[in-house]
Amino acid sequence: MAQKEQLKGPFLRSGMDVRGMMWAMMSCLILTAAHFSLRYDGAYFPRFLLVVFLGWAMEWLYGLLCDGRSVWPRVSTGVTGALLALSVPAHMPLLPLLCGLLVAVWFGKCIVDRSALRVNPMILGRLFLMLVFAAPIQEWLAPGREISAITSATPLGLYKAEGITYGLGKLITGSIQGDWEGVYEMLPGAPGEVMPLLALFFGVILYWMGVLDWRPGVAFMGSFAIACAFLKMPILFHAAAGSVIFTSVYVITDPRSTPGSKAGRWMAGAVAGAITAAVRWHGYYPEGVVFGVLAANLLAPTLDRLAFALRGIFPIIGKKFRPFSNRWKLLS
Amino acid sequence: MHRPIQSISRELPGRPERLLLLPDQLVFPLDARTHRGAVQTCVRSGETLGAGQVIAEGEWQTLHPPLDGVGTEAEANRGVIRPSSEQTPMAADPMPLDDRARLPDYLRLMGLVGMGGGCFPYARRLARLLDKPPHTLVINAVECEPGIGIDESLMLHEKRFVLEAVNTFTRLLGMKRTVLAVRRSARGHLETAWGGEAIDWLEMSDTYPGGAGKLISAKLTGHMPQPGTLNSDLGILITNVASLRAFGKRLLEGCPSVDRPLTLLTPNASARQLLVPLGISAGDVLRTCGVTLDAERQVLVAEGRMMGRAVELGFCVGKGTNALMVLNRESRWERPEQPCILCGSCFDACPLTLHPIGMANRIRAQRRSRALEAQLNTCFLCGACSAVCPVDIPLVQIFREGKQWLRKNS
Ligand code: SF4
Ligand code: SF4
Repeated sequence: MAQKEQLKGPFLRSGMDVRGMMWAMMSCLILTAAHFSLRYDGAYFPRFLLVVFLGWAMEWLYGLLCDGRSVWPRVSTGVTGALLALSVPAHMPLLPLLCGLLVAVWFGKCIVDRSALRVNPMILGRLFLMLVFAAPIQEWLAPGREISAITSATPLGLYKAEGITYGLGKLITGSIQGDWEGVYEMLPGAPGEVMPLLALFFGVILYWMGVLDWRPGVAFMGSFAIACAFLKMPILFHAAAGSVIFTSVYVITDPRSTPGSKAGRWMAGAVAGAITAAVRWHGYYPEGVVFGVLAANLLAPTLDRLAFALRGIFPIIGKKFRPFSNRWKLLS
Repeated sequence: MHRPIQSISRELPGRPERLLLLPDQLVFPLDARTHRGAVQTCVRSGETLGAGQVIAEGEWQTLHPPLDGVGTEAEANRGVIRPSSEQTPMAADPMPLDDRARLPDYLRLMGLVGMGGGCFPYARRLARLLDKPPHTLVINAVECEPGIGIDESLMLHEKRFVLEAVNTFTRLLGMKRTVLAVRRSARGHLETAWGGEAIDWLEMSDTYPGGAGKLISAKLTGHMPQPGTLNSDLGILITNVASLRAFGKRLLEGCPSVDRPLTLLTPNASARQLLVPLGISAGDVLRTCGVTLDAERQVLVAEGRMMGRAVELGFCVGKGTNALMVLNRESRWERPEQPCILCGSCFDACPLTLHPIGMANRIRAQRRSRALEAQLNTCFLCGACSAVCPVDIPLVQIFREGKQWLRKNS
């Protein structure tokens, strides 16, 4: 009975717990990897699993070395490993990839996650790869080939080099193959981004299950589209090529690194979208999501504080009610 | 993203059953906190008491036993009566009321409080309103706590008492309009009983906490009331159905507030609506209804899953006890909290669009600010944010403590 006294309400809980949320996300990422493996490269799936398990091993090792105890790794670390494996070229050499994974897990998950800083660990790992292993992270090889006979390009790379847009229908269904005028061999991009329709489908499922919030993703895509229009870039091509949709479903929605408040989420999504478009327009890299998301992540605590402080100035905002009837005015 | 907590019950609430039993004792708390003001017992040890006789009085509140019995010495802020008959009262004459000035005293003598859980004395509430009476009376029949159906049951089966109370309030206070606030899905069956009355219907959502006074006045007026604004400042008097029924019973049958209509919910059985004598223990209620509590696997909750608390079998039914629930224990209730993952579910769940985890962090760090005060004063501790937190942060408990901390330091 004494124990019962300590039970605290509410005695009804809605939605999943955090493990359930992470496993739901993990399942979608595993299916995405399986899809890539079935359609483009049979050897990819075991490699994907290897990266996920190595991510877990790294977290376990960190616990052993730094905290002196063996801790069961978290599902969210598996999600970080899976996201990283799905965001880099399928044939990226394993050594740089593992360095990126180490940065993502040790710094992103084990160190930054415990601090007040909010950065998506996968983005941290990817940023490390872009800065330190700039060549391997941009090398797209056809399955089974060690080196390319002719220059290969992803749709986004082709746009960057030649200003040519790839067919929209092919882009959203992930039908990327053949060559462009005998100059470039067309290859799909990173495994996670090849079929935006699939990412969108999983996004809807995760939203329906209560795992994702739609606001940051919608704000990201909306501001990306507006920025593209402003910079006179083809909006639909840019939305479908590269990892815009993958990011809006899996990355910008990451709870730990985006603001918690609704207003903060809208703002963070908008910032990330605009910066992504700007980098695509005039950056060194064809893809700009890493910089966009990183900027939004670094702004997250400030955006949350701002949203909170505004409630002191406007105590009741956000919710508007339709007056019950205009008889109210007559009475009051 | 969170899933709203649905209040919908599939069954139509049944007729309230009067619970006839002879308990060992009836216990009445005498502390000032429960009654929102000091009450003094006027019972001597060994004194024979009749049902409905005054046993304690305060400035705004009076207590009466529901059964005949013998008084004992008041101890530890509670009065105990040993009942001698299981007959609930009470053969008295109607006690109509025509004088508005007498209203607060009438309500004090019958011991009427807000029976929605707040237990605020009606006498005190109405005394404030006599100078500037409200123009709109709202019957709050929005049963938003999942599983509770007692208010809807009273609306359907004890209509004459409720209607009498409504008519008396509107007549005495000169109110221009009566609004019946109901859950959207409950309107259909309530219309069968109340369709012919001269009232306006206000449909609230089928999700928790659709019946909160703040949300009702927001829907009525079109804006959320600013922090510190009382409904009476807006010309609205929101009344609970059980309180109206008690008032109507006094008007029509002369009976003071001595019983408590409540919902009894048990696993694998339909909810039962009961009329329970005040002061009786939850154990007696369960025993009389043939319910056993397996303390290992189950927990007894009073006053609803969302705003209620876990109690023991010795818990005594008070004027604010609108439900007793035997619930199978869930591991999530006992799990320790983990660090916030900033999923944003609590932000989505808050009906007032507050920043729950922002408030909780600032309360724990004791970082006071204007924004924190404004939000904490607005929060009405509905618990919707706690219910959706995937890492089990006890947000509502933190806010309760935070409110006390603010009060202490203001
Ligand atoms: S307190 Fe709970 S519900 Fe709110 S953001 Fe944190 S984890 Fe999510
Ligand atoms: S307890 Fe307060 S903060 Fe939490 S949902 Fe209810 S009103 Fe909002």
